[in-house]
Amino acid sequence: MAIQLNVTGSSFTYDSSRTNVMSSTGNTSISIPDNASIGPDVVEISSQTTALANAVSSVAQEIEASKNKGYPFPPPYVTNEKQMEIIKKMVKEKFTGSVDDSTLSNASEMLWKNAGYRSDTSIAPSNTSGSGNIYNFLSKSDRKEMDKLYDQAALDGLDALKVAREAAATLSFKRMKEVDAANGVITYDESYITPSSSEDLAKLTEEERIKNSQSQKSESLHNLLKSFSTIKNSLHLNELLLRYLQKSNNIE
Amino acid sequence: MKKTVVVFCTFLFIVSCSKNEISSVTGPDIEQTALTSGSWAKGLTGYTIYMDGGYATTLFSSSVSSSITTSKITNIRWVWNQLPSGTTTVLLGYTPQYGSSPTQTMDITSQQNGSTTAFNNLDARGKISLKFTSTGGTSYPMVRTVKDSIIENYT
Repeated sequence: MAIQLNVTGSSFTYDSSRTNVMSSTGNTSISIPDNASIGPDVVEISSQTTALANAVSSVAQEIEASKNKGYPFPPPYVTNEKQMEIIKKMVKEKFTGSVDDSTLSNASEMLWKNAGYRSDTSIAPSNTSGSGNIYNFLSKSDRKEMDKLYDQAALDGLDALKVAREAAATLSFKRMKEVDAANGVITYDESYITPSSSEDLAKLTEEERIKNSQSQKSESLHNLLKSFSTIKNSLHLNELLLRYLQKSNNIE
Repeated sequence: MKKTVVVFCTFLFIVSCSKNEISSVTGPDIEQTALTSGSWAKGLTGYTIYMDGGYATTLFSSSVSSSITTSKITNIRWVWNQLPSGTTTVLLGYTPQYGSSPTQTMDITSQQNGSTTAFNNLDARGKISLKFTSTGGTSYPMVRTVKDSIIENYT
C-alpha cells in the first residue's frame, strides 16, 4: 500500500511496508490510494524547499569555516539575538525565493545552536589565569552595547565588524582586569616600567644566554648533590647493617 | 662464618672511606644552601592562540628554587615578541611559589622590552608570567616560534 502525503510547500509518496506511519495536524493531508502499487521510496521536495536547504547549508559552511579560521562570524562579542539576526540575514542573502519569517528564524536558530556559541547569560570566568577568551568576560549589557555599535557602524558605512571588535577588545580587557581586582590582584600602571634601550636589549640577550647556561649547570650540580645525598643515606644504612652483623656475631 | 664477616667488614671499610671523600667534596646538604643574591634567566616559547580574543599565559621560574629560599626580588626584566597579526596585549604577572593565579600584574603592552621594580621584596621563588592576548588577528591558530625572556634579580 502507498501513502500520499502533502505538506505545504512539499510532498512525498511513501511506500507501504513501513508500519510506523505518523500524521500531524495543520496543512498536512494523507491519502491512501486503493490500488497503489508497491515500489521504492520516492521523496519529492519542492524547488523552494531545496533552495532554502541549499542556502542554510551554505551559511552553515561559512560559519564553520570562519570558526576554523579563528575569527568566528557572527562575532562572539555581540548578544545571542544579534548573532541569530546576522545568521538570518546571511540566509536571506543566499535565498532568492519567498519564505515566511518564522521558517527563516527557526533555520537561523538551528544554525546558531549548531555553531556552538556561548550563551550570553553565562557567568564570566571567576579568574583570569591560564588560557581562555577575553570576550567571555563581557556581560549581557556589554554585549547589547556592542550590538548598538555594530548597527551604527554599519549604518555609517564603516567596517562594522572591525569597529565593534576593537571596542569589544578594549572593554573585555577592562572586564578581565576587574575580575583580577575582585580576586585581590594588585595592578601596577605603566609608571613602574623602565624602558630598555637597544643596548640594554643586546646586554639582556647576552645575559640571558649566560644565565641560561649557568642555570643548566646549577641544575646539574643540584641533581649531582641530590645523588650524593642518596649515596650518603645508603652508606648510613650500610653502617647500621655492619653494627648489626657485628653484634649478631659478637665481634667488637 | 667469621671469615665471611671479616671480608664483608673489609668491603664496608673501603666504601666508608670513599664516603668520607664524597662528603668532603659536597659539603653541607643542598637544602641548607641559600644564595644571598643572584639572578636567573629563562627564555620560553609561548603557547598557541587559537582564535580572536584568545589569551595564553607563559610561566617563568627558577629551575633551582631551593637555592633561593630566603631571597627577595630586586628587579624583573623582560623581552616579549609581537604575535604575527592583529593586536597583542601583554600582562606581566607574579604568582607565589605554590599559587595557581597571579597576585600582582602589570600591563606591559607599551614596552616590548623593559624592567620594573614593582615586584620588589616578593619571594624570589614565585613564578613570573607573561599573559598574551590576541585580538583582530587574521591567521589563527597563532603558533609561536620566538622565545620571550624573563630575567629576575634577587637578593
